[in-house]
Amino acid sequence: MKNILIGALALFTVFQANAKHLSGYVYAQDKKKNIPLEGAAILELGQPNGTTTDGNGFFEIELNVNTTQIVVSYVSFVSDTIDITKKEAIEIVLQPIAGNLGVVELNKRRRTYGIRTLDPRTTLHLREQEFQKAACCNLSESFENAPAIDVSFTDAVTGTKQIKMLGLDGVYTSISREFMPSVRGLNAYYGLSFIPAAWVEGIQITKGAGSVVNGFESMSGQINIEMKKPYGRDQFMFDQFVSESGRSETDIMVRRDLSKHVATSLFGRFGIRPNEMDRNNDGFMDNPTSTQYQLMNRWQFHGDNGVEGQLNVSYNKDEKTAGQFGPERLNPYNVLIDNEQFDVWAKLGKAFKDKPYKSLGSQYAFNTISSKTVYGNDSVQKVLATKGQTAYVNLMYQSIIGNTNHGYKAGISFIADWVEESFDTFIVDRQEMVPGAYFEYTMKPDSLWILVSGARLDYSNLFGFFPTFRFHGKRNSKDEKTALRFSIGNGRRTPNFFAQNQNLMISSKPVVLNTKANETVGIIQESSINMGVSIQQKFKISYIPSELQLDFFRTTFYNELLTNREGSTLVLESLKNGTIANSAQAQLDLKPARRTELRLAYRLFDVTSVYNGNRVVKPLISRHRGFVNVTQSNRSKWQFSSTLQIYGPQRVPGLDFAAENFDAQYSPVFPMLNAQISKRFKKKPVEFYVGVENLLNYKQSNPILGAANPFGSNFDATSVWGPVFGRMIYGGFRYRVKIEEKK
Amino acid sequence: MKTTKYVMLTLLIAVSQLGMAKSVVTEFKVKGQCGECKSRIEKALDLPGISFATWDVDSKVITIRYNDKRFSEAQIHTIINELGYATDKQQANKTAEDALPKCCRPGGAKHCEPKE
Repeated sequence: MKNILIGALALFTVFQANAKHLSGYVYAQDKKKNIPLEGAAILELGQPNGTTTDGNGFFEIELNVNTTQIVVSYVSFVSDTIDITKKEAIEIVLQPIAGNLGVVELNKRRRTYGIRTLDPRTTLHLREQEFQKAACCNLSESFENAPAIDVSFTDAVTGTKQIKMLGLDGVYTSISREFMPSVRGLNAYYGLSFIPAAWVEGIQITKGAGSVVNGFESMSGQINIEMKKPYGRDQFMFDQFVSESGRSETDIMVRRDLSKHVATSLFGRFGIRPNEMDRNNDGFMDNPTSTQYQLMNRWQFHGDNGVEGQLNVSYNKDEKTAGQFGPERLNPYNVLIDNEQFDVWAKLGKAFKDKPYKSLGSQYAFNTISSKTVYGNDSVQKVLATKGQTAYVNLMYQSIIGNTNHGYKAGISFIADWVEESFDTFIVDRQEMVPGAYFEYTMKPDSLWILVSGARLDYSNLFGFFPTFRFHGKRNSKDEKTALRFSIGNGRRTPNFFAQNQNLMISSKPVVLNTKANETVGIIQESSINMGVSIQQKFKISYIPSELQLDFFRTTFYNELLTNREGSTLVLESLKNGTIANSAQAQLDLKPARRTELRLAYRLFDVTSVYNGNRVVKPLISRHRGFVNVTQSNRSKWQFSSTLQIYGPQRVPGLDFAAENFDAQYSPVFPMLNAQISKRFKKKPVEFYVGVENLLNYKQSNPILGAANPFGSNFDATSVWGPVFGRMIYGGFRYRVKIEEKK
Repeated sequence: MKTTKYVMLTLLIAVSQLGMAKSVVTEFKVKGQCGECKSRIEKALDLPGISFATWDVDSKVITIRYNDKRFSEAQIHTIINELGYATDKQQANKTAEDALPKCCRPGGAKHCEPKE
């Protein structure tokens, strides 16, 4: 193969006197076969020149005649520096990086959005281009085009967005950063809003309980966020966003190769919202004024002997002022939110070059967070303060039993949380240490089946021993057009009574803690079981490639912290056998033309819980949800994307348990329409975009009850089912210098 | 009511992409050999007037949707021939064919990279 290629390419070299031509294939070794790697980066050492492999792992590059080496790299694989003097065609096989502690994904087709048919879990992969279709700026706002995740406002005052998965609050989704716990514990509430979308390379969304390797906290699903790495093609990034409300967000990144072995990158973000606006004239600012600073520094090390390491630090500070509007107002009701966070995390691992199925990896993290929210004014106020630290270590060994049809991962982990929460007169402190061990076995009985079974045993100083089981199975059809998946698993987490319910405090309702007699106040462990099935089918409608996905998931809670605001108080209670969430989704993706994509989805949520002894529908979740997205681009790199979401009626909190049907009230059906146009340039590495959110200007009327008298007894800003501010126009640019291809 | 109007509007925009100016869908065989040929063929057909072109490696069938005012089917065959590939109706341009990598020429299938 090599010699033949050399012969064929000799023809080309006659025409290129100042450059030399190199082509070849890049593979990943898997099961003693070679799988072509699409999107692997080929970089000319010593020159700002590079290219990437296509869907067959093939690449071609014009090199300077004096160049002797190229670097070949791909996310989660060990990069290779190759001597190419006297070569015109090469084959390269890359080894997976140890210490990644996650599923190694090999993409067969470059798509910005998709479930890869090789993955046993129902996992959706989003690339940058997909979440760039959403308006803004941090991850809590980036999921508007992924029907699997719901984004909603928590209250009418702070402008915070929260996600939901499978009908359950975001706290039940395990959100990890490069397979390390990240948005959890005290950070669960604001965590996603502190991850800038511009810093993210890709997102994997898994429905149903995740792998035991990553812990026991995944109850409805898992979201893994891949940040941009020091080894990559992005050299410099400068993004700027502005909106008509005066909001501005700036992101900057610089990246450097310091040597053959070490690369580093530095990220910075500055966000500001200087203007007070009250477009619905209820006396309250539609959005808080705020400032945010974030910094992150990453270091990555590739050794020659398969040793890989990483060290990262990040710092975040965010201040918001929300509430009543106007300088001439005496003693306005305000919500002042102050968040500060510092993170350091590292990975160290070793891959074995002669045994690509074997690796040893370790992860280390330390995080400290402090947050203070003041509700009210100088004389009448309630304060919610939280402070905490988390330490985490995970060691994993991966290998096979006999042959590569039987693989396993085994490891030990330790996670410790020091938490101090206080609200008004309540104080809840805890220190929880959880060492644990896990084992996961992956069996491929034939080429069509994959079965993954995992178990872990953890010991908590607060709750004793507890086991976790996860099982995932997948069967492909012979033609690889159909994939059937099923999963079942249990999960647990320790809730933070006040930190995860911060939005509910923006009301005059007194807070009541209702824990069982033999429980320490503030210390409970939530537990649930999740099971689901999904079918993914590729087919053609006439000539149009299409894909249909149907899935159904059911999560049953055995123990949980329930927030009950049906009456005149806000009750935080520990509840057994409460919430049951059933969710079904049907999604159709079509590609009727080379640059046209159409996505349609319908979801049904049947989520109930027990309030005052009665099983009723949970409030503020639509039973029916519709979704349509059209994306159209053209050869000149213009792109238009528009999403229409239809929200079915949601039950509004406040039941009269004495009345018939408890006198349940429902919000109306409403649409949410977003659109964005963007333009990339061929010659310059910049993209401009302009768009509008909530084009139909739909607003929930009177989202704040008792707005005229926030210090009175009828004040409640938490019954929010729809958009609070109306149409918002925004725009910006993304200037990204990559190592460019020379053609 | 307003909602339904907008749903219909969005769907119409999408569907109108399908129904513009006499689009014709055709299928025929292109004698390429392996996956690498797929990107070459599809890229060469990325022209105004051809809204869709996908070549299947196994069946060797290409599916093309094009505007019949801009192209005739024979012209599309010729574009492919100029690239170096024969179709089931027309011969390849010999010079171009010889310039292809060995694995893309007739009989070159055994030189293709391993299939997964």
